Amino acid sequence: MKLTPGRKYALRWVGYSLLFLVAFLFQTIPNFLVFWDVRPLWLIASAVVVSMLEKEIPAAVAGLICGILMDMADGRLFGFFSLMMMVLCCVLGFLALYFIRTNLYSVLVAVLSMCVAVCLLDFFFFHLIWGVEESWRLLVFRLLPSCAYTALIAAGPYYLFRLLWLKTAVEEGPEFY
Amino acid sequence: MKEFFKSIKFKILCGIALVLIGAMLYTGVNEGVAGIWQNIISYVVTPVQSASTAVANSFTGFFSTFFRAGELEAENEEYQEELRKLREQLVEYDELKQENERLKEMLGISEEYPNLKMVDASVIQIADATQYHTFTINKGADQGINLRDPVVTKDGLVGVVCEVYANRARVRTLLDVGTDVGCYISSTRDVGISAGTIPLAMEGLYRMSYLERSTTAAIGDMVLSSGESGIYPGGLIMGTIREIRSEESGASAYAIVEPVVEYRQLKNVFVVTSFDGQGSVTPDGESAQESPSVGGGTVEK
Repeated sequence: MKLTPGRKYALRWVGYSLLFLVAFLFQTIPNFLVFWDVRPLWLIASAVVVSMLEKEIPAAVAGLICGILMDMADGRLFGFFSLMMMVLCCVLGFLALYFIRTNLYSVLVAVLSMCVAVCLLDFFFFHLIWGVEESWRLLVFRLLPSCAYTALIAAGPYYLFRLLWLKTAVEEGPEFY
Repeated sequence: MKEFFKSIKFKILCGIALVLIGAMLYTGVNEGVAGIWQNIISYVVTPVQSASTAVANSFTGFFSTFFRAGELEAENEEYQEELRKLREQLVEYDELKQENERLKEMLGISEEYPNLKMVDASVIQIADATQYHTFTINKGADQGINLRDPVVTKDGLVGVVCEVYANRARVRTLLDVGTDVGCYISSTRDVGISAGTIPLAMEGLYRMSYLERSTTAAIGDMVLSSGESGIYPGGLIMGTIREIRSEESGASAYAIVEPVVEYRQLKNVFVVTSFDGQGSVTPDGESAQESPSVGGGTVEK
């Protein structure tokens, strides 16, 4: 059965939503792929991959969904990650559309950059400005290793989302190289 | 690019951003109490999360036997050594039994915590930045859980509820910088306040501050909750002293405490929804939950 572009697009977003939910579960299941108290930020990796496959508005929506799930997961001020991820993913969507080729390497660099940006903002707003004693240790031994770990596992989400994107491809979005 | 900023889509995004800022303000003002949108999301994700955590736990339990073989061997040796010491201590047991009973009665502790009304819950999520081991349980306001309810296991005090949704709640552990608990040392009756620090939290420890410089407390002494604030029940075991150090100023001392609860392995907890003496003192804020005498002191016997 041949699907219309509209249905393909809807199917794609159903798939994205399910994968976001899986990423949320991976990120929150206690002790799942946690080494030395460092765990990968699956939701950021997923949001970044979708942002680089889609245009700016869908990228912002992906950032918003993953941000809301991160707010649920992390217990920070509700809306903090949602707002930040929505804006950053929208910007990333623009960059991917006009300046960056979407391939594995650019995705890994984007995931690392996004993780560092999110973690630095999180660190600044929730630790540094509150003057928490020796908070730099948190940055050095937890947050930055989490970013590196996320970049390491980002290939998985990239190929998964890419496969979904290709299977439901309509005539839009950046080309693959 | 210019078209984008003039487009209706951009305006919708700005609207969503404003809503999110509103959500942040609402959450900030109503600290720890979930808004309607959080509860809606919570109703969707909590059942899925509970199920996935149960599956993951069963897998982890199976595979950890192989992955942790070396660790288990070391643990076994440690337990053998502990057993030898316990056998030696058994000789002294009879002499201490009566005194122990008296202390138990005095501290108001019993194995079943008869004065506590509790709700059992399962851990379904551990926060991303796991330095404080903040976790989420599968029970919330619908099951009678309120903000600042203490959370315990059979081993002792775990932490306090810091965020309540309809069907889930977030628990802040004793390792958290924001968790201040009035406590005392069982052997010396020295009182102090326990709170986390980042370096200690990374090692799974926390500190008990405001001890007298001349404290006679020793390594291995038990730290118990004082219950003076009305937030935590008195006499709950919080941990054992691992080290005692002087403050930089030299005016007082502090103890480094090892919690009795193994946070990484935590699967089930009890939330204390009511207890004798609850709310006897109204907290002014997180950092003023307890009011011990700074510089040391003793609990009234």
